[in-house]
Amino acid sequence: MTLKRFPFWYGGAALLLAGCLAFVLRWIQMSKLPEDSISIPFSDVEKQPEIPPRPGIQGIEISGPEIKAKRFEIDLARSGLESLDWKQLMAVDPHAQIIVIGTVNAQGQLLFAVRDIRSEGHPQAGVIIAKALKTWVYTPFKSGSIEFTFNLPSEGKKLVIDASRLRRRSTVPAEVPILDGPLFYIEGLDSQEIRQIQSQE
Amino acid sequence: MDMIFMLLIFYLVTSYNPKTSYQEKQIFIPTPKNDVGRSQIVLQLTDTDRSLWLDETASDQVAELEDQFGFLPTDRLNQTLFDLLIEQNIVTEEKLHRNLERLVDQANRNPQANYFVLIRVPFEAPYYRVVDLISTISSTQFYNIRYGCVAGTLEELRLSREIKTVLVEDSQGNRKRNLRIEF
Repeated sequence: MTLKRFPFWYGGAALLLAGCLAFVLRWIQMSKLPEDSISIPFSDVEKQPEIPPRPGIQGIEISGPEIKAKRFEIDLARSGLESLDWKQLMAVDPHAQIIVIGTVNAQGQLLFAVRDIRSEGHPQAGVIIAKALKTWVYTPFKSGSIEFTFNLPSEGKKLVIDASRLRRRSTVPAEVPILDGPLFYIEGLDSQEIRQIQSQE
Repeated sequence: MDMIFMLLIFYLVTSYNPKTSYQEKQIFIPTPKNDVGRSQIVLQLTDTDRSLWLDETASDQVAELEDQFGFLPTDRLNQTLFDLLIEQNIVTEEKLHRNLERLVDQANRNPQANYFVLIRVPFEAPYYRVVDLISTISSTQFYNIRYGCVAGTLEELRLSREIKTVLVEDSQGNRKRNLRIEF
């Protein structure tokens, strides 16, 4: 009797109930899915779908190995390297200002003569620096002139290494990038105090 | 009213059961495009029991040969590069299957990796040889080796317009030296 009198009310209530039931079931079902399957991340909405690889009739391009960049830096694998003891240098002469102009040869060795060390008024510090620098060897990817400016009293620029005149060696293929790593081997000096003027690619 | 209930039931059934345990498997059937195709490995079957296997080492081989024979005129250089590349990369049936098994093993150990193998088959090649190769390729655990199959002979490959190495950079800035063969 009541059903006959209010058919739309019961129908609506049944529809609402079924809708709620469907929502709950769907919600339970989705909660079991992995998170990335529940919704499309906002960042992916704009993404173009990935086109699968297809054979081509104009040619073939076969993927080659990745070209890994080489690093021009102190070659720690070489034997006989001596680090520069900054604390000893500071103890000997805290006001020293020394410039060393060296040459990196094809084997990566750092070469310089006595006249290439400008240590006027600070001979002892010059000797300590020269003794360590003479043992430094770099990875053999670049060669040329390199300049070290030691300024012990300075703040933030206690050592400036100008590597801008180094050139990549012809033995390294042109397509291989060479990145600059640390060009110094010093103990007891914060790297924030060292500035490196990068060499050319 | 009946219609509403029918639609509701239809909605409930279709929305509640979107995934069954017997899902259709994706079948990868790429159509060739009018461009240069890309792949990690190229397999060129021949009429004999020998095949050409070109993978990422091929670009290094060609780069080395380019350095060695770069003085030759373009036509002669292409011919020399093809002859030496084919000579260095022809494999027996047994070696071919070993290489494929190694590739499958590599794909199973690295689910993130995606490989694409291009199989070139002469018209005369028996059907079972290709099916055999495809069934090996498809046996990966993560379906991460995909393949494309086109008709072509070794001789057609040898008569290609150009073979050269090209430098490419992907969106992440990684550089690769690829081997490009232009038909």
